[in-house]
Amino acid sequence: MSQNRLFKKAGVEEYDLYTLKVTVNEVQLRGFEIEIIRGPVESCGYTVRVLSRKGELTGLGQSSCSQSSKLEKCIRDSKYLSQLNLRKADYEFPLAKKDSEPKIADNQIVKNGEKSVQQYADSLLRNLKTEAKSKTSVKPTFGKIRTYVLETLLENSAGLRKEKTETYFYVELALKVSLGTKLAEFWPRKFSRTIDALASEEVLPKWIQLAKDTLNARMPVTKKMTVILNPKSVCDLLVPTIGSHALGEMKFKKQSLFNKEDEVASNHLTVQDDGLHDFGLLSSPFDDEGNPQRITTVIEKGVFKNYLYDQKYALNMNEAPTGNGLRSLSLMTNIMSKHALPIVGSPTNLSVKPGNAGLETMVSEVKNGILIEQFSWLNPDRLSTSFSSEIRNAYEIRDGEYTQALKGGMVSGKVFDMIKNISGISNQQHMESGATAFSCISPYIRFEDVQVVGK
Amino acid sequence: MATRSYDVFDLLEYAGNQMEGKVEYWDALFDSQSSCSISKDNVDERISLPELIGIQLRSFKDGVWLSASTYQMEKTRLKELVKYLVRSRPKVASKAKLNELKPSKLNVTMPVKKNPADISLESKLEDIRSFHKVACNLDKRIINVHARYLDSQIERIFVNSEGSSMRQKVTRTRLLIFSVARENSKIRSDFESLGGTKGYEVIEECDFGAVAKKNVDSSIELLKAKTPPSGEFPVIVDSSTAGLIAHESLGHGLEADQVIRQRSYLTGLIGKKIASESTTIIDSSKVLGGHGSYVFDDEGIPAKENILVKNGILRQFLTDRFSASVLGCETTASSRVESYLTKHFVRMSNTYFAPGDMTLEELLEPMKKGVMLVHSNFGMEDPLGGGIQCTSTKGYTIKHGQIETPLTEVSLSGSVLELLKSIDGVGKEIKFGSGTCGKGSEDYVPVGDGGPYLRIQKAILSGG
Repeated sequence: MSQNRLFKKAGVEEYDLYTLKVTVNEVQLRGFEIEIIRGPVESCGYTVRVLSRKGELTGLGQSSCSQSSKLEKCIRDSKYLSQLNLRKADYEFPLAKKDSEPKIADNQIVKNGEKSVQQYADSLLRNLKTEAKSKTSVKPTFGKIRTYVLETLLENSAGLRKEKTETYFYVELALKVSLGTKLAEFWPRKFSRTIDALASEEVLPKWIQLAKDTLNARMPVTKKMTVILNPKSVCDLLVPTIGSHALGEMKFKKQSLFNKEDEVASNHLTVQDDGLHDFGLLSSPFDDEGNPQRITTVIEKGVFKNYLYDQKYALNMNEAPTGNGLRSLSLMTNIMSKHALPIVGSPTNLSVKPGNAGLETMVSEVKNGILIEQFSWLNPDRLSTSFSSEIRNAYEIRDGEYTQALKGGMVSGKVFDMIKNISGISNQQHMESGATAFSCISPYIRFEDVQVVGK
Repeated sequence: MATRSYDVFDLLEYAGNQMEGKVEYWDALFDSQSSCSISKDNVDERISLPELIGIQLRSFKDGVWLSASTYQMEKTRLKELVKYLVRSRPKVASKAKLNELKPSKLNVTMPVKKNPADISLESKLEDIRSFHKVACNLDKRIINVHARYLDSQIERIFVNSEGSSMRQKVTRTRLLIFSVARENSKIRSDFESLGGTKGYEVIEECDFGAVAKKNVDSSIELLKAKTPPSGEFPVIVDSSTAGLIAHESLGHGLEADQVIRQRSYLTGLIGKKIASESTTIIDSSKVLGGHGSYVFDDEGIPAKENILVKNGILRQFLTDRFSASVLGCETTASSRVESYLTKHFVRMSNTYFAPGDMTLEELLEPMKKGVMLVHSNFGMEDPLGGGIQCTSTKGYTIKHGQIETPLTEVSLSGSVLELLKSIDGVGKEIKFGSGTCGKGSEDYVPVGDGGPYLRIQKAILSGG
């Protein structure tokens, strides 16, 4: 029976059906050897949302299943749930609109994920074996190399039918360096859309250098000082905080600290939500409700400009949806089970506009500070924006020069105070996934007067 | 399509039989997870019924694992996947063999007082609405209250080449509340969570008024809380923060996959003193009602209680079959998967400090100046470096043995071994909490942790 007929049979008039098929291939390393080859790992999920109406009341119910044979039950369950939570709120499934087409797939992964991970693993191990022969030998203790192919089909009762194929590539490595009894580690984890973005000969030299430098690291001193954060740390600092307070939903619930035209940051800071950036981790022609994704300016030269809307809060606040209704990924959710997540307002790729100076120029202007390349887990409170996180890999800067590697101790503060004290933004953007946030496009950012805690 | 238990056993054995004689070892795991999730705040009410069903097959030969997973519960698809599992493997130098184990037969449904599946959705929704309403009306400064209910029923069926044939059904139920307090531009929030391997009794036995008031009072108190001092201080941690320290700082370093990767700061320390004499730390998958409890792990090993540190002496690592074989020790039933889609890793279950004999007043009494950390929020492991990051949602200053000014989020860092050696007082009352744990940033499994109040002579603190 066709899916339309299943909905008709259940007496459902308004609905959407989100179908996600994912195939994963993976190699995991133990030291220089392959521990496990995984694949194909295949998942399939159907999520049905049904909208019921009774007078001015609307109710949305959501149910998921892994097999098409259970779809009929899934529709009945969703209908039943939608009738249980009837409330005074507007909702309607979006009509089809014209989408843009950002690049979101790597053909190499689509064609043969299994071969792609094997080839990458070979190249990575070859490069690492060369490095292991040096005096301060750097060795992987473990590694994960993984490809994803996601095929999505979204259909709704308003006649919308959209499809996309997208890819992800994930690399995680723990690089250990030893000299005598001294040990140190750099533990990078990165998502990209393509294999080339994480080509081992491109990323390894910096990762190896960070591991080696950490061998002689000490703890920082306790002091307020200049702090430069790398793009990954910026991702974890800004996406959960600016990304939350910029949501229409947060405004509606009186939880946002942003008002339009408020000065919320230093005039160095311009932030866009860029849902169309080629190979952006959350780029897509359409969001998970079917609205076109787009570019929205959130903060311009320190002034808050626009909220981000999913379909529900756009309707309830008389605004146009901005393509921010997502089954929101974080690093705590498995991409393969994404279909079962609820749709919520969420930023796509927050993009920080680059400044004029190179990183080295920014460093040269620092009298007393640190450059942080990795925290243990930078996880700010998204409402209060306060945070405190342990430093894993960093450098001390004195009179414009790197003087010492640092590890341990903490950096703490309130993100919304820190963004008022930005003194520089570097001139090159990097696509990053953090430890808390899934996607951001950012340069290095320099903050003044930040609390650092150590011995 | 097979979903009845006997059909699933048949499917798994069919897949295994295709591998028989072609590999050294195989196993097959069926995973069915069905949940009910209700979340309600002042504006939204979301109800969903997610479900995940599939099979993971693994084979081991010449020191290398191969695995494949599918949602297609059909013999034809499994037969195709088996082709991937019997192919040739890359050559590795360390051709470790798996220790042979006696086969187990188990078919256990972990008992709960009230099966959530027997409670109507209307009743669940009504209860969550009541809980939400109670919290909303407590203080005008509370601008939003999120109440969340989650029950999950996980059925796992396991067979392997040694003849093990096992089935377990584990029910977990959780209730969470998260209230948001606002005064002008100051916003603070705190959460409270209840639950474990329990049924709907979590809701029925919950005093909604008391739990909501505790949570709301805490969020309101945070509005007036000061920024924590930065630097080294004597510290008292509550049971939830003690649990977080046991889990993040020590537990992850004891996961034996890290040891055989040569990535644990605890390698070579078995039998050595690593903590003060008053310190005993346990990981047990048998804690009654513990959120991390199970009947058998995902390699079919029946649940165990493992004493990790006894009176300050490090006793053992947590192992799966492979690491136990390499290290020449028994497996501790610690191999777990998030779902049929993810890899087996060595994981903790319920990790906790054993109780001592001191009251909170006795722990506080000698402290002239210090900080108390309460209500753990999150932490991160540092298996090679032996560092700590543990963050609590709030704290208090301690002056002359008295708890004084409330503090906002406090983080604790430093060296695990220095911290464990500086524990000089252990409370006598133990409490457990429930949460989830990732291996690094992925592969989340339900865990429990806990302990009594601990007094630590010196720790590095900071807060936002």
